[in-house]
Amino acid sequence: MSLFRSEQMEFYNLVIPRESAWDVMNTLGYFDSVHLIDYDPTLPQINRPFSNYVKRCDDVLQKIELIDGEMRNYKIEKIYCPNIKDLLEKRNGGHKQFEELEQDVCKVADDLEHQQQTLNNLQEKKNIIRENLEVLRNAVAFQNEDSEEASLLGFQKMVGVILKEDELRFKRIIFRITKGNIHVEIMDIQEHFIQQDKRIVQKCVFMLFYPCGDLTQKKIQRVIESFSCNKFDIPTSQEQHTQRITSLENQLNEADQLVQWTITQINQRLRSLAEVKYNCSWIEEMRILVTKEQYLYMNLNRLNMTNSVFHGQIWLPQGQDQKIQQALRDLHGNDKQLPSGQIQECQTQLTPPTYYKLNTFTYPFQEIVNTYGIPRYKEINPGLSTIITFPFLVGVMFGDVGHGLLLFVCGLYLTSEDAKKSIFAGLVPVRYMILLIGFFAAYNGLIYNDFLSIGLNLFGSCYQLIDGEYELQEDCVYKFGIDPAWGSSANQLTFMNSFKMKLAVIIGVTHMTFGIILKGFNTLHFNNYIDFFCEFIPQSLLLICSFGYMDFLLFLKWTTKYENTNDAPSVITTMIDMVLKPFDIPDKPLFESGEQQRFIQLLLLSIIVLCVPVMLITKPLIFSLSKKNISYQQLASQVPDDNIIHEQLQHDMQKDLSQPQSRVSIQQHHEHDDISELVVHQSIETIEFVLGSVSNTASYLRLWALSLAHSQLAEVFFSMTIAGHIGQGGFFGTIGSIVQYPGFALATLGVLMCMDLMECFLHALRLQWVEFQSKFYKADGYLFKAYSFKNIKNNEPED
Amino acid sequence: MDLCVFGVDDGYAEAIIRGLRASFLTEAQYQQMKNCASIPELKSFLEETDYQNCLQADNPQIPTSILRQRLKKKLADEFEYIEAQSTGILTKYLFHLRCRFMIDNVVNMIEGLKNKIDIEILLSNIDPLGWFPEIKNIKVLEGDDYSSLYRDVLIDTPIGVYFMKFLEESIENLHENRTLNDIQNLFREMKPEYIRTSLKKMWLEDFYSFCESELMPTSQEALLELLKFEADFKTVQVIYNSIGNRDLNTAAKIITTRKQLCPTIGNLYPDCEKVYLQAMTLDALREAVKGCDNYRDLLKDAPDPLKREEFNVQTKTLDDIMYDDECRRYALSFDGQGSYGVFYAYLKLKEQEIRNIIWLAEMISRKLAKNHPGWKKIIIPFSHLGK
Repeated sequence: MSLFRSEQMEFYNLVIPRESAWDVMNTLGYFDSVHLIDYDPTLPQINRPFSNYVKRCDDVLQKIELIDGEMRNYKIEKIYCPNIKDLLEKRNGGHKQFEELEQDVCKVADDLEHQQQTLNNLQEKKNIIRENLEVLRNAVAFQNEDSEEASLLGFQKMVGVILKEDELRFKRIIFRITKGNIHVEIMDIQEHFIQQDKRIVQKCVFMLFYPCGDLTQKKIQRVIESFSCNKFDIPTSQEQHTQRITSLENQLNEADQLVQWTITQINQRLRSLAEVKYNCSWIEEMRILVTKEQYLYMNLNRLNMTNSVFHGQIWLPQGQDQKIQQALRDLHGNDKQLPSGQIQECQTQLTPPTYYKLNTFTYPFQEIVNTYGIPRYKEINPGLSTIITFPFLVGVMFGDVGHGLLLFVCGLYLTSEDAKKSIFAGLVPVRYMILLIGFFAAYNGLIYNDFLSIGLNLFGSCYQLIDGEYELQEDCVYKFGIDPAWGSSANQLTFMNSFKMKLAVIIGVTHMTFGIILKGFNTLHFNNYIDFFCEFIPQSLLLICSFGYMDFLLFLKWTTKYENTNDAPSVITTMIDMVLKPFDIPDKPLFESGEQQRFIQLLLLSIIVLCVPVMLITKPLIFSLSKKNISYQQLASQVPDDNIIHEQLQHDMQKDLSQPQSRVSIQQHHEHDDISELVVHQSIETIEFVLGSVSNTASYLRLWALSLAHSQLAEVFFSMTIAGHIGQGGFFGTIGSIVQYPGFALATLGVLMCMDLMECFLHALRLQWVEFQSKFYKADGYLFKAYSFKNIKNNEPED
Repeated sequence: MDLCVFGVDDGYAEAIIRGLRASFLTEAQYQQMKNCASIPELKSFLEETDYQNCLQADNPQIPTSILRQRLKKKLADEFEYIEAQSTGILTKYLFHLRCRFMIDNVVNMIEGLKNKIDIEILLSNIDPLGWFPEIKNIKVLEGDDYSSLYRDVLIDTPIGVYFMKFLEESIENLHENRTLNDIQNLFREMKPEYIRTSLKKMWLEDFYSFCESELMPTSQEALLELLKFEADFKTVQVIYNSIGNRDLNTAAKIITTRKQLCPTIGNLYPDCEKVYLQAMTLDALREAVKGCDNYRDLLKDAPDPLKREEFNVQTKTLDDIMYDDECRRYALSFDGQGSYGVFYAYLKLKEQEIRNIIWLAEMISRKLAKNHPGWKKIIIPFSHLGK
């Protein structure tokens, strides 16, 4: 019954001597059952004893991330660790291991960085050679008669390379400085350059011709320097020129080879890091091991260290203590010298965490409940009943055999192994929910007898078509669901509406009554008899006597056969008259005699009327009576922990006020609050319940509304697309329906299977959370968070 | 009206700024920072705040200059992001804001070059908020030839306008029959600080008129208010600093300098201009500004500039007092809705925060005793709102 109520928790003190802190935490991490309590959540991480270890782990992880990024750059495949627990056990090297890991990773990262640096330098060198080469090549283009002339006229030239983006600015400044007395030629270099910071840039060669003069030259020199570009000399003679070019080309080749060689080296190095050592790539292995260390130290930080002993408080599920104690005893094996950690059971006022053992089937349903609120410790978990009620409610709204089966098949696909690798991997966690919704949708579709808006004649209709009129056969009942003959009747919609509406109310009242019964069990479990008698009993009576009675009338009316349907009494009128004219004898009784009905209704009405004051008054009354007998002091000692903390806070805040006075006033204040708060609370609860029982019942009509919308939509899509062509038959009908079919399929898939399903899901969610859970669910617990190495994930992108 | 349409263009940028409000350090965090014993500790503390990413790559013993650079880089990145998300007038407006930093950068470069500091060091120290491509080319500057610097390099830059005005004004102020030599002398003697103050004054006036002419009423209201105060503070500062200044030996010189440096906007101008230009003592200055707002209260605690030699770390200088009051105004303006004031205030408050961190880092690195009054000398943004 682990899902019905949360696991029994026990509170333990954990004491670990400093020397074996790592080992003990390491051992505990393999158990999936330790909930560590942070001894001071307000303490910043940085002030905790192991914060520097956490920081170091962070640094190492960052380095690993760097290496990983490099591997991605080089497109090296790596293998993620499939079984983390296995790996951790194999690579368990004690608390000194981290140091080794750190060293290893740092060494690799440094090496890699070094290699990258070399590569960068090489590339930079290559860039310079290339620039030089480009300059020379371009210079050839200028070695024409113009430049000959220019040099004869005493012009000098200067050549260099600048960034393409600086070109305009460069030209302008040069122009201004020399007042236009200069000729600038710019030639783009076609190929891109890769900068040291991995930026890809374009560069261009500039060539300046300027008249001789020291001042100009100096100025130009400065400008060129300020653009931080390289300047190259141009050999004067043609011969030297070609020589330089060839030598540079050779250099470039060499540099190129070196770059290639370094890249291969880095590649090889990275490949060796991707090699599998245990069962995954080295880099991933490191990542997981370091993450584990960090996780361990972060949790160790939650313990309080005093005099080289760690004190901590933990929650354990019942029955785990033996195992853990055994494991702690075995920790050092035969070596009795080293002290080991200990756990001691003790009493506490703290609320235990809520813990359920979940599996892939129960997980999505519990998630629905948890999204609303975590169950209070030991409270009945709505998650259990949700497994059936939730898909059923969706199914009531989504009721259609065809769509339901389609969804069921989708669910089946999701349960298969293939789905995990497909694009639907995101839906895999909720696969069983989809499966169940599909099942219940198909089931409800059978009841509505609706297959993609067509009725199925599965068991042989009870109506026969005689002379264009449907005749009901004697003593014939359609085996299951609605008779398909209704599909062709004129009042089909009216009939289905009335049926679905009634069905919705019946389901609703049942669902709510179930919620109230759960409340009854809760009160019994917590030995809260006041709530049992003052809340559970009147609440259930109120609901059963009002809307429960209405359900009864519905069944009664269904089972009675009226010769003339116009004579049939209306359930709604009966219910209204029951409240407004309780003493009149109904003219169209549902029971055999009006007298009988009046008596029953009067009885029920008086029960309802009596229930309200019972709910409203009794509880505050009992409380105030019992309180009067208890003096303040006793009360203060009884009220647990919470009160003390509150007091402490108040106390701290009012430090400068005189202490005894403030304490008394606070207590009195508190006392006064208690009763008035209870009265207000109770009246709100009562009003909410009484009004809620009406409005919540009405709220269940959404079951009808949504199912109506669904069936109408399905019908519209069918009749607007292929229905006409199928009716037409023959060659053109076939062609027509083939042409129209994609429209029908897409509308069914998009609007009905996706949008409508989502809508039904949301409405069911609301019914679950508001109408059902409000009846009993306190939802003020907090989740059990296990300190477990299972929380360490490999960062495989698919997951 | 403009409240209705503010969000159309500028809603996103404003939303980002509002989100960034959460990145300000709280008073409790400042308290923790004060408790840090060493620079590595301070650094690791900052790594738990919003400054995490910009410090991670550095070594724990980070020098304060690099720390400042990192913090400013972060601010610049944020600002750049917002600038990229802005459109129309907001872009212009944000660009205007950056001009102030550009002026600082240019003047710093000039100052550095004059003192023969290596250009690489200078370039690494420039404020990233005021970076512009031409800044590298300031190197072209030869001697004190500011006009050629303007002609060759700064003319294209956003702050070229201010520089031109500055040159024109300073030349105009020379006597009638000036020679080329006079001009050169003028520039040789000119202090970079003087250039900075006059450029900023021009920027402030220009920014003021921009706000006045281009922005929507709500933004105008908020910004003109702030700018007026800033102008007034500048005026007060100029007057205050010129009292007893040894470089300005004659009364006439003091007044001309003041006239040049005091902004021609603000609450004090032009009503009190005559009076404050003549103020030669602190008391006279107090008297001059008494008509405006809370200026008198502010100046009440300011130490006498004539006793400058007696100042030490403990003295709460005029700057401190004014930063404090400014900080309050910016914080108020930050919470104003539908105006561009929020961008301005954000920038100013973040600057203050960086100043605080650097100040604390200095205090920590000097290992001053915890009861040293210097620890109290930080102004925490938004701390005024609670009171």
